[in-house]
Amino acid sequence: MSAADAAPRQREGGLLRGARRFSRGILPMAGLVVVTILLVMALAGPALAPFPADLTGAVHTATRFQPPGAAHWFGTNELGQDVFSLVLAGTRISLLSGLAVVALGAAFGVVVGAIAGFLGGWVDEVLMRLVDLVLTLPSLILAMAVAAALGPGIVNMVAAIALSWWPGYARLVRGEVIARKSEAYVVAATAAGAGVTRLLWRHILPNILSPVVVKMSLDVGFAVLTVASLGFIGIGVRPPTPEWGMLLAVARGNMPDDWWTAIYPGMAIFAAVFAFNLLGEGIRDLMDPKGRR
Amino acid sequence: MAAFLARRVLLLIPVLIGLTMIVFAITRLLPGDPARLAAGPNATPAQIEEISREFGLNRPLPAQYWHYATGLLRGDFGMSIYSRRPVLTDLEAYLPATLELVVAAMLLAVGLGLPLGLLAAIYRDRWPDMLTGIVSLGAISMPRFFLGLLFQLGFAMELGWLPLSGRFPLDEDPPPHLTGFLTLDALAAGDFHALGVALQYLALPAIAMSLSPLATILRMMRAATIEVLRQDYVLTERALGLSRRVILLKYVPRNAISAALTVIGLYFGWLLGGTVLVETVFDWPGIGLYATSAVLTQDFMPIIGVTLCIGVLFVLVNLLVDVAQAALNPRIRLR
Amino acid sequence: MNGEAAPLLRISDLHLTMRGDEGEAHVLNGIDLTIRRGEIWGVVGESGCGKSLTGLSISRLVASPPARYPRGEILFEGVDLLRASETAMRGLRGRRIGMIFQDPATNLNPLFSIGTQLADVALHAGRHDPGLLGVAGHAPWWRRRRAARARALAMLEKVGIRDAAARIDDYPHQFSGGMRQRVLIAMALMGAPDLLIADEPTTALDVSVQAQILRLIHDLVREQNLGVMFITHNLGVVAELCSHVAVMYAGNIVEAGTARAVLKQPSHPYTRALLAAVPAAATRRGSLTGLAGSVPGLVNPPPGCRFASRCAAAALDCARAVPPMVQVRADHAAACLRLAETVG
Repeated sequence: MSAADAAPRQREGGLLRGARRFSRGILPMAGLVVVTILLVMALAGPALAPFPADLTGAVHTATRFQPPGAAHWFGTNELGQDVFSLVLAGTRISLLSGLAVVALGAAFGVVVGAIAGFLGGWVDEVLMRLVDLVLTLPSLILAMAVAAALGPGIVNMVAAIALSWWPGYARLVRGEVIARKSEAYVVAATAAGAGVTRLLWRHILPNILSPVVVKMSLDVGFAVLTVASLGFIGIGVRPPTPEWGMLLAVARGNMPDDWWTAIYPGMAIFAAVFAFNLLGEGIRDLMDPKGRR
Repeated sequence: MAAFLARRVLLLIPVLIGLTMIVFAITRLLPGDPARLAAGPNATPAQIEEISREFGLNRPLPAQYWHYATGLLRGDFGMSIYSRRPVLTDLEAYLPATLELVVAAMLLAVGLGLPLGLLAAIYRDRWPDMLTGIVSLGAISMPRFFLGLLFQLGFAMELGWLPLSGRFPLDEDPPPHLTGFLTLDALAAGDFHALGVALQYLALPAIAMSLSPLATILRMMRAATIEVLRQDYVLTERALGLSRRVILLKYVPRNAISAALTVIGLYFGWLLGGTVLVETVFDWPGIGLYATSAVLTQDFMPIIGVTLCIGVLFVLVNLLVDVAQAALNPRIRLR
Repeated sequence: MNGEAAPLLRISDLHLTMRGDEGEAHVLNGIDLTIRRGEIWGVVGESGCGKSLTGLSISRLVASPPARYPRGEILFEGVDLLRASETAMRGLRGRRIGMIFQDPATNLNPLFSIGTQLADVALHAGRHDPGLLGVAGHAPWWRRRRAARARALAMLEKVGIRDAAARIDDYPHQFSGGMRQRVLIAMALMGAPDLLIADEPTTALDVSVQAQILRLIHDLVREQNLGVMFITHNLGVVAELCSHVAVMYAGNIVEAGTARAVLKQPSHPYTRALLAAVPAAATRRGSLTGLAGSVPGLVNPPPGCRFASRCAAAALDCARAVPPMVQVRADHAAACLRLAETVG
């Protein structure tokens, strides 16, 4: 094992110690617990819903606007559908969309940033000007415009939102690549005869992984929030897909008498985003110990 | 200082040009035919063709851009296909409302966020700090539209303390139009009753909008203050006997605010783009709603107009932030 | 000067522990030091020996958790500083006790003019000593500020800043390193203190500037009859400036006395090793002597002499208990059980 390979391996011990520190913090652990529950809900999805028929547009006019009770934990909406089932099914859409946005944005951003950082020169200049310009645009309106133009559907919505997400990663990765390009062990590997691509893969990318992972974990919450925001405006998903923001928008008209139709989807958004943010902060403290506190 | 300003203003021009280009490109490259949408579902191909020609949509892209760019310089933002009005007129009508909301929200966020962040850093790791930390994380996680809804439910419907929606009651006369900011116009006209009413209507939406930036500014200020407190010069200040009051109220804030300032500029731009959520809940007649309806009808000119407007404002605000940074930090302005 | 005069500062059996990630480190292990007016005490030792913490402890600037002072006292003009109130301490800092730190680049607030920073220190001192500014304590604030600024100007001139009147409103980054250190010295002396603690004030400066700053400090001390604690790791500076020297190792003072005595006849093995390591003009190339081994961990320190593990003359007794200070001569003491063997 050459000196060039030795550097990344030292992180292992620190990670284990950090994991122990993480588990001692009550808030990140609470975040982790809630996120796990949500992920289970998302993945199992409709299978767990007590009234699965409601998810595909069944209407029960007889049981409209039932307040929360034994039969319907979260009550029913204007179509007599079980709010709990709707919120449960919405978990899958919101969560998976949010994760997809971050994954897509990160993937694209990392590639762009790595190219800019590694190649430098005019490629770097052009790409970074592009990044700056996209960052100047109002992200929500951009996402709205693109999503609306592409048409309804989750995939289009995810792509539209990811469009405003990638510049942050590009900038981050570019900075890290530039910082590490000149680090000693890269020089050492070059001296040992490593080719350019091998250099990129084996030596630089694993070490920029940490800040990217931290940023991703901090972004998921906001991605879920953005997805819900678009749903609230009415762009991206269409009924009967039970997206949380959309459920909230529809339920606005039922205020204040049938409050449960709005409160529960709203609380779901808040709980999910909060949990992801807690988890994200915990991961950030884990991987970047000299962070804020 | 003047040289610094001049340099920054000159740099604006290529940025603005780039902005118009990229916005134009994005809207033109998207699928969808606005002429068809504007003509309606039962239009004949001839009618669609007519509209297309009327709005210059059948010309090559660069020509369209040139036409648009030169029009901009004349103050012509194009026509809204949907409302059949010049976009500029629409913007004049809707922008002040949004600006008033965003400015009010930022005033709250900065006015509370900076001192609370300072306090959190001073009481670091003790219970006020812990509490503030959790609450601010919660504030950032709370969707603005849900918060607005809760405010309406609680303060308007249940308690009746504040109005439900809108900018001004329909049965009263708003103050004469001067800036478009109802609060400022009322103040200028000396109409304190109107001022009070405008503030009542502004309260809930502004608070709903301000929570997220308040939390972020607080955390930034806290982090910056902690960083400053670790500096050598603070140790020297303490070693030479300066009182806590002088250090914490005179020296430390100036050092810490630099970091928070950048965030304030960024958040302003972010808020401007995200007003639609709060405007929808409170029926606030701003550019957010305007842009959304334009998006839904694929009406390009308003979308471009609004995006450009926000982009320009964002750039201007960041310029202001840079100027403020230079005012605070002698190393920047005395190169 | 007068040996019978009451000492300005007397540190007795000072112990300091710091709680950290790995446990509680015994950073200071029974420091005894007496400084009189007019004496310039050099405190030398390698990094981590505790010299900076000793200086900071006098002004009680060490954060107290995680620091703890389980034993000892610091008597300043008869008052135990360890047990004084924070208000009392704040009254002493900048007024009776002045401090200068190492890096002039980071010790001045970059966003305020030096005039503002100097005036604030003068204002603080003037609040307790109305005679300092020549203005009564109850005078309106603008009059006090003007007097403070006048004093700041006078101090700047005294420390050798040319065009002080023009430069008083300049910012720290507009001064060179040496001038910044002069400003910091002016700040430390604004309150006309009795004791000056200087923590490596010349380490970050060019050699040529170092000499000027040392001369400045020397002249000021002479003029105002200050007692000085001059912390450094540079024996050359000690030889040049200091009247007395205390050598520290791993939290203990291992040798102390007049500078001439200690430097001429080093008695403690560590002092001798330090002096041997300094290259002299006559040193042959390639023959630098270093010191083998490293400082012991301070979390579970060895019970006896902390230098024993690196000492050529160590015996079994050395590891049993910390050696007490033994008089080598009238003005010279060292903490070593093996003095008879090591002193030639």
